[in-house]
Amino acid sequence: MTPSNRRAQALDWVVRTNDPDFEDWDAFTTWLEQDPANADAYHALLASEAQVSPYLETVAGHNIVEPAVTAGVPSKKASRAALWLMPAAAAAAIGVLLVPRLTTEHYVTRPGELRVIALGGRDQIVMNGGTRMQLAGFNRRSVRLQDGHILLRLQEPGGGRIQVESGDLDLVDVGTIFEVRRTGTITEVGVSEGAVVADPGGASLRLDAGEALEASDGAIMLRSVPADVQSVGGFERGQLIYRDTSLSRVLRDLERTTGLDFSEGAVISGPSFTGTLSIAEVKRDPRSLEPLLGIKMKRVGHTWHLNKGT
Amino acid sequence: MGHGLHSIFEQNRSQLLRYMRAHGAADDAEDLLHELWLKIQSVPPGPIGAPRNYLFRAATNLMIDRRRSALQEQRRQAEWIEVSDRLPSSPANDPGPDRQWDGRRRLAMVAERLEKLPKRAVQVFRTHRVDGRRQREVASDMGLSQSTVESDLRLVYEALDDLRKSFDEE
Repeated sequence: MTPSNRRAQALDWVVRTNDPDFEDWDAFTTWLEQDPANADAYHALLASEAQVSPYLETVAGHNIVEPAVTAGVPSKKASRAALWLMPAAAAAAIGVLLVPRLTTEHYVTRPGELRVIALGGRDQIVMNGGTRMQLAGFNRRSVRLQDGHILLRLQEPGGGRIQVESGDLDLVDVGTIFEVRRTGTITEVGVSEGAVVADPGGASLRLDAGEALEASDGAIMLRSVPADVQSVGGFERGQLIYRDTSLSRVLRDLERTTGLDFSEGAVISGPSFTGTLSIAEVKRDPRSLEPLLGIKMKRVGHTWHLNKGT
Repeated sequence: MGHGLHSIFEQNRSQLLRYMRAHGAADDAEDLLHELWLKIQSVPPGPIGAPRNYLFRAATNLMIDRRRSALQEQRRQAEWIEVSDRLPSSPANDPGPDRQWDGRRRLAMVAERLEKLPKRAVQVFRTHRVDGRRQREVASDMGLSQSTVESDLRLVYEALDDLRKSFDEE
């Protein structure tokens, strides 16, 4: 058999066996047995699909990512990414075994817990505490952040692109380290290396190292702002770094990261905080926050009640 | 129990072994079969539509994983040799910009190749492989014949394979 004949036959078998309805396993076995090179050809095609299809997802919206996009681009919301995850989740729920590599996996961390998910090679996701996310798609390269805070470290050469969905905001990596935080309906993105493209199907806003984005679901404009490179992924190193950040957000982060339980008094919302907090120190002595944040703390059971300091 | 997988497994034991060997499992076929058996233990009870299909599908996934991890191991080895040739502090060790550049150029290559495919073929592929619709569902959703769906899928798988080869040649 010539190599191109073999490839043509392998293509037929890939088309057929990747259909969940496929049943003719005996005929497939017979074809594989005819020559060990048949299995090689078959698996080569599957590997190509796994490696290249993440690019397809970005390109299929007919929107090639252009590097020269500046801040303040109108965001066109499209219903792209939702399609990617739903069928897999539905199928998983009813116990159907899916055709290779399309299952959705769910990951949850408790407040105060840190978890590292290896994505193969040097690619990994670090989950802060109090975080819920799903991984799906070929090679688990589709991330849906439901709530919480993750750091993506994507450094495997040729590891394939990662797509992150947070609410109605889509992000695509261009080789990078970045973090995504979802609180309620607000998504924040910070980039410390490489670049990320936000809303690739619409605004295509490019975020480079040292830039950040904050967007709520349904936002009409996406705008990048300068950010501290050091602050990205600080939670992994035991630090939370802020510049002009509202106290209520700082406290929400602290709950996630330390597992402490805060109850905020109404007056907390106003002021903002700039500085670095040590997670270990706050865990050891929560009251150390009092002078830093200008608040008063009172412990009732497991909860810390917070009020404005004097 | 309760889903009949165990008895179907026993009935198909030799077929499954043959199937894994045909995939190139060689001496590991028995071990892989055992792994498959262990997987069945964790399947929650409840009816399974096509248990024989389920077993062969699971066996296929095992073989794909096995091939994939072998491939990754090779890559790691190759990369290690490349990296250890360099000084530890060499800027060439920073994978960031390389990968960025790679990403953008590859994206352009994919876009160019896809332009040459019928739009419908890409749509068929996405509906089937990304959204997870069965081929006959895709056919009826889009008003196509089963054979058109198959030939569209062939085109896209082929394009993806061509692209992977040109990535490798860089």
